[in-house]
Parts: sequence; structure tokens; C-alpha cells
Amino acid sequence: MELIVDRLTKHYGDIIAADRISLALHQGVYGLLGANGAGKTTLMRMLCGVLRPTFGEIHFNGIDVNQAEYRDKLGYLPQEFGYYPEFTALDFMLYMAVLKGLPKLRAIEKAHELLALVSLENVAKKKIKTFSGGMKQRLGIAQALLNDPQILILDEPTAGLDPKERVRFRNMISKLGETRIVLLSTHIVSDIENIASTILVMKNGQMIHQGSLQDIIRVIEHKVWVCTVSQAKADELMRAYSVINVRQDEGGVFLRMVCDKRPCPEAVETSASLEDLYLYYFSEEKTGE
Amino acid sequence: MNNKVKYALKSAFEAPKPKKKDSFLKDFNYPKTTNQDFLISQISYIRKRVWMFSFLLMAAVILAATGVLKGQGNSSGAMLIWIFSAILPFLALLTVTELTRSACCCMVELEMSCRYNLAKIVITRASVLGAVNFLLLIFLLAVASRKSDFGVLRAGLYLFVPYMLTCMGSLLIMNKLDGREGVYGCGAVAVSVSLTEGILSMTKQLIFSESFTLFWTVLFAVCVWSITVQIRQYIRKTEEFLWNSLLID
Repeated sequence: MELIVDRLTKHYGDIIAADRISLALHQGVYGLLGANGAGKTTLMRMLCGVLRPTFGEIHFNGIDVNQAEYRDKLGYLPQEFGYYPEFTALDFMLYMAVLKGLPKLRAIEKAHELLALVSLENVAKKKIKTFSGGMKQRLGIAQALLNDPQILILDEPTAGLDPKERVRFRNMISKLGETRIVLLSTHIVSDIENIASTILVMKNGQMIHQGSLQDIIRVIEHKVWVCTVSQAKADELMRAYSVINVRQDEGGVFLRMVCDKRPCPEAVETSASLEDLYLYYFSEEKTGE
Repeated sequence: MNNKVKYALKSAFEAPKPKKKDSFLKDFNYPKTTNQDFLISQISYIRKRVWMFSFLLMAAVILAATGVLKGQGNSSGAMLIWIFSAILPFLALLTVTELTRSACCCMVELEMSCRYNLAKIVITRASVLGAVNFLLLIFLLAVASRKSDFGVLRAGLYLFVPYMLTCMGSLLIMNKLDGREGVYGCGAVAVSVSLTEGILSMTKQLIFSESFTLFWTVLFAVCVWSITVQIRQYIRKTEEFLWNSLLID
């Protein structure tokens, strides 16, 4: 099982949304991290055959992205999706099953099975327009699994879910990654930290890092510092460095920041997390870095 | 084997629990639907209002054919044609807007990523609706040409051209505008064509005289050519998500 992305590029006039991205994805969960505008959705859309790349190729086990056979192995949850207003959850699942080429009996069986999996079986015959955001998101995840896809692409799958549901889905996605390629993008760093075996970091259309959590955070190892200082000193540090966390404490202002050298005598080095790396890369540029 | 022996064996021994049933079912290569199954399934997803309008139109034609809808004097046949040609743009509107539902309901991205993608959905639905409309128009023509003095060619032109003008204008708009804006544009086209047809039939009878047959024929040919070009363009449009500034994420 191998999904090959070869020098994938997408231009929109002068704007480069994806810049020569090359990847080889095997079974497992891949977490795609990047700020708004980094090119995550563009990359995912190209992987789903929804957007045509300006340049480059995508193959899954030798099958080109434009072939129906490729789409047959694909499950996709877009960031935003709609539904026909007259549809119930079951109608929606059956409609998507038809588009995915499932025969009627198999479609009915699979639709019920997946609606039960996402805890929507009790509302299967209710109109989708009456659903909450979280319920719609769960329905979106269920439809992506209808054809038992080998490639599962999830754009912000946990958006709109409450913490309990999020943890449940995280576990479900982790399980799904045992037998297929799962690529998910999210702004919730902890989701990626918990389930992704490989993390992909995008910035300005380029893949700037890829590797395991340990590999990725190595970039900022020995660069994360914490300290509690006065308000005036805190203001000065905030202007100079990438500050990840600010908290008003009893003894002053608590700061967590990323910088190459000790920012002030009170600063103590601490272990780095993925969130530190994310904020380090995607916060505003600081002159003192 | 004797049934009694079968039952005896069944009751004497407990059947072993299936091993690897789940993995077998997972790896089982389930048959996929055929193109024919897909076509049939798409018929059921075309909105009822389209079928209802077609049915009402058909009923009106049957009533006209059986003489229930009678006009005044010798102009009854012509009147039938004017009435139907003013109604037909709305049939075209319903047909064309049926193809824009995915965009209006934000289903485009999901549908594009499926085995039977948006382009196939649009082609299938357009074929089904086009075939039904064509049959309806032929039936209408058969009745109208028999009831009027225009003959098959002229009656056909007067019925087909407003319908096709609406299709052409609507497709042109759909290729430029998306979603609801496109639908409103198509509605404006249908109303304009219908009103123009109605006004012309009442005030400018000359345009429906035999000497204008060439004009109508050229208009018909232009519509056929333009609709072919526009449909091709629309199908191409459904094969790729159109970029906008929100896409760079």
C-alpha cells in the first residue's frame, strides 16, 4: 500500500498554493499541520482528485488519481460539506453509497452499521437540517467510511465535536490507520500529537518537516524556556521572542517561549511539545529569534 | 442426505464458531454497481417537482389533443403553440437548475471525490431529463402540428426554439455563475424568453409567418451549436473544483 505524491504543485496565477510537494505515504495516520493559508486543504483536494495539480503526479499502488479506480479506494471528509435539504441521515448515506458504487443491499447494511458506529442510528430517519454541527460532522465521517477506503483523507475531522466525541474519534481514526493510509489535518495540535505516527508540517505551500513526533520536535529541543517575570520585563520579552503562553501568576507574568538562547536570567529550559513547534513556526516573526 | 439425519446431526453437534469471519468479509470483493444501476438510481434522485411539471404539461397536451382545450375560431392551433412555447422555457429552467443542485447544496466536493463523480452525475441526469423533455416535445409537436396550419417544421421550430434559447442562456449563466446566483440568472432567462414569446405572439404575428422560417431555422441551429459548446464547458467545470481565495488553506 503506497500513495506516491511526486513534485505536486498548484499555482493560482502568481500564488503558489502547493510547491513541489513529494511524499510517499504508507499505512498509518499522518497528521498535517499548518496555519491558515499553508496549503493543507489544497494538498488534500489534489489528493482526492477534486483539484487538478498544475504540475506533478499522484499514484496509489500505480493507479492515477484521475481514475475511477483511485476514487474507489478513497474516503474523503471535506472541511465543509452540504447535503440536499430533503435528506435524512439515512438518505444521505444511501445517496453517497450509490455514488461510491455500492449495491443497494450492501449500501443499506453498511449505512446502518456506520450510523451506529458514529452514534447516529437513533436519528437515522431525521432530516439533516435538524442536526447540530457535531452530528453533521459525525455523519461526514460515516460517509467517508462507506466504501471501506484504503486512503482516508479527513480535513478537520474533529471540528465541531465536543471533547468526549473528539477523544472517541481520535481513537477510531487511530484504529483505522492500522489498515489504511489516513491523512488528517487539524488545528487541534493535541489530536495530531496523540494519533499521528507521522507529522507533516506545511508552510507557504511547502512541506517543511515530516517525521515522527520525536523527529519533529527535535528542531526546537533545548529552545523552549519558561519564566515568571515582572509585567515590564514580560512586555519586553514578548516583543523580542516567540511567546507560546502568557499567564498572570501571583509572582508576576508566567511566559513560555521559544528562542535559541536563554532569553533572561530567570528562564528555565523545559521539554518541547508539538504545540511549541506549531506556535514557533506559525506565530509572527520575531526579530530576536 | 436425508433431512432427518441432517436435523439429527445439527442437534447433536454444535456448529463451530466462524473463524476470521470479519477479515473475510473485509477482504471480500463485493460486486460494484453497473452504469445501468447508477442511471436507474439517479432517476430517483431527480426532484419530484420536475416530474410533476412534466406530467402536468403532458396532461395539458393530452387535453388539447382530445379537444378539451379549445381556442377561439381558426387560431386555436396557433394559440396552443403560443401557450406551450411560453410554458416550455420553465420546463427548460427546471431541467437546467436540477443540474446545479450540487453547487447550491454544497455537495460538489463530496460528489467529485466519489467513484461516480460529479461529471458522471451531471451527464446522467442531463441525459435522463433531456430524453424525457425530448419525448414530451415530440408528443407536443405531434399534437400541435395536427391542430395548426403551420406544418411539422414550423410548429417544431416555434416550440423548440424558446425551449432551447432558455437552455442556452441558462447554461451560459451556469458556466459563469455558481450556486444560487446562477439559479436566479437562469430564472431570469426563462421569464425573459417566455415573456418575449408571449408578447411577440400577440403583437408581431409577422415573425411567425412563412417568410421568417429561415430566421427560425438559423436560430435553432445556433441554439444547438451553442448548447453543445456550453454543455461541454459545464462538464469540464464539474471535473475540477473552481479556485477562489478561500481555497488556499
